[in-house]
Amino acid sequence: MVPSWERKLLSEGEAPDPRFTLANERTFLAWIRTSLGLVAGGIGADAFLTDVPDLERELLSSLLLLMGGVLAVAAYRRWWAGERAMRSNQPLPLLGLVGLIGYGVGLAALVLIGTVLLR
Amino acid sequence: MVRSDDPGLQVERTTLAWIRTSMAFAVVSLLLIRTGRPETIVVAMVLTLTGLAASIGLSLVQRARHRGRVTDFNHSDPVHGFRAVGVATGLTLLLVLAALWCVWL
Repeated sequence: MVPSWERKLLSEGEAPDPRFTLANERTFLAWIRTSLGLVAGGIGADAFLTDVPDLERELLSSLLLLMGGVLAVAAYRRWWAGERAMRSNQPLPLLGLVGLIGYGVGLAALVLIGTVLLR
Repeated sequence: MVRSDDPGLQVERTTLAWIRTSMAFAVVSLLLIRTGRPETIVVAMVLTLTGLAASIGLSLVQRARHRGRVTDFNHSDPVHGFRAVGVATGLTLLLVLAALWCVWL
């Protein structure tokens, strides 16, 4: 039984080659694992930076966790947009958050390095 | 016995990707224990066990539907199962909220 929302999605355009659907799903999963990596970083920062003042540690940890959450939502939107684009033979949309996540992770790494060196 | 007609083993690779993601979810859930202060350790442990159960469930569901997806693929039928994508996103967001709770309380 196909759920109604899935039927609605499938009613638009034509079903793409199953290989493309599966590739889109794997890309989504790769993004989710990246998101989980950020969550792991956030938990790790809280658990292991014990010499850092509480507020700073919590803020750094929260920043990484929130980035992980944003990335999970972005991954879902990206998957959805890709599925719709493939069904209507449109070009795949670019994920605007790639740059933001790249710079965000870079910034977080610099802050972490600074925190460890200065403690 | 179901045989795959796909020389690229797309379904198999996708199922493996799901299982890898489930394992990553389990590892991150385990890390939650490290955030537990004496006053919150019990809740952190409950959240960890819930996360582990979710990751096991996700793996088993993907493993169970692998055969059906291979059959769909062999018949060139559209691949279904979009609900799992929503579930994976939701579980990740719940993990983020659980971690934020553990960090701030």
